[in-house]
Amino acid sequence: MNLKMSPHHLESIDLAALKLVVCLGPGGVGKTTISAAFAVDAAAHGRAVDVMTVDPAPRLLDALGLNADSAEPVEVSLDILRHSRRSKSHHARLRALRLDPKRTFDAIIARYAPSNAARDVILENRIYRNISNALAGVADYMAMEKLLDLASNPATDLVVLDTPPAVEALDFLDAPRRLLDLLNSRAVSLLGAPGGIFRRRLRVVDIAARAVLAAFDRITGLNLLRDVQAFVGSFDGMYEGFATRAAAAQEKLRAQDTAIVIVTTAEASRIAQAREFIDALERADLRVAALIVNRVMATMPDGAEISSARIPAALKKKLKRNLADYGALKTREETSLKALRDSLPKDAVLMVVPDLGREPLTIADLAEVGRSLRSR
Amino acid sequence: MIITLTPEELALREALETEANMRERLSITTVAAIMNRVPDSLFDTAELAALSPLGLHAQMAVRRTNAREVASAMARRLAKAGIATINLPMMFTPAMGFDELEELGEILAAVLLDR
Repeated sequence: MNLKMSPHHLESIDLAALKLVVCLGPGGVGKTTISAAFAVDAAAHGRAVDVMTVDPAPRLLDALGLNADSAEPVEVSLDILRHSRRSKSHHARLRALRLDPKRTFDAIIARYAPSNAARDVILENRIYRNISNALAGVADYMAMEKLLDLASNPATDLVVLDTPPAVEALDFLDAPRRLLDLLNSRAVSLLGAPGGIFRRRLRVVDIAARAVLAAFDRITGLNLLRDVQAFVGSFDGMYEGFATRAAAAQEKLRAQDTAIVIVTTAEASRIAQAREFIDALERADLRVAALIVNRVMATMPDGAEISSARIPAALKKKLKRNLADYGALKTREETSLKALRDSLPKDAVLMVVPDLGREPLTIADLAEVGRSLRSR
Repeated sequence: MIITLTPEELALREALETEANMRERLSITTVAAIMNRVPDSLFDTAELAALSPLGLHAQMAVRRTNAREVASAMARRLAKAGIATINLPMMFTPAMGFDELEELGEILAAVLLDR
């Protein structure tokens, strides 16, 4: 494991040295908030930043000035950060965009299609129109694809990528390879015309299956096989483009100025998921720069304050109960965090982000979270 | 079919999407949503105002109240989608063990068997 952390002194990653931050983690841990906070903080320190989110909560969408159709980068106002001198530099900027897998897929087809005619065949094919949104992993691949686009812009210092919620860490990072595997799979070979991108010979069973599909089409009149064959065949000549792009993505993820961070919360089940993510990434030879534990409960108040407070006795009783209740949760959280720390190597980076006590709704809120991600 | 969620925006959106997908694509009807980790209501508005000089204590009281209100708002949104919500309480205990699970199980059994 390559995480760098001192067990007694929490550190942070050096954001200034990075060109790409990829935030991975299970759903519901505040990954989008952390991604946006990284971006706001870097922009507040004078950098030109793009942040790409996948499925932001509506209120965070508002904070970033995005709407449901924002597929192109939208400039986010940094006026609220005017106390930061560096955020006013001409170079500093923050742009946000929301990933639109379908539109990104269309752009890829347009880029790699050997001709305009081939491009149109694919884009108009009903199979493509269905799978371009529905195929498992397409959103992951498209996020990676858009990331390469953004990262290639020389005017951008830092790209922060919020990935789709994942059950497995490699769902996202391995998406280019999985799409290549799909294009080169036996199932696709079975459905497509012989030759072209297909690397395998059809077996007897495949030919039989294709005959069944053809018969199905004759009976139903759906022309399903013809459409699928046209779709698969139209990818002929594009395989190399996809392969080159997949290799570029893998290289980018392993670059020295890329940080893959895993976001989690302090609940035992989420920490277990985070550990699985780290292990999976390690097996794939991917460097995890930091583990971020989000929404950690703030310091507990002093119980003695309740006794001396000038409030009715009934309210004091309620406050004592509230303190005891949240104290129990804090104990549970500390137990989980201790188990996590003990399970990580001594040189791993573990960053703890305190709970704001409210849903982050504004750029100022994100800046506050961002500050807690900085060196302490 | 029962959907389980926590009182968080993302969980609600996923629950509503799941319900719509199951209904439209599979013709499966959702019986109810179980909202887990809902704190009980402890402070009213006047009490919260009285607590405001108490710093962290006040913040913690607001936190509990907000969590309860978010859960109520989400239950209303689920009701609009035709889904009834069953609340499970936040277990304010230092660990989640057999006793806690048994308590939650008894609450669920009572509510579901009652229907």
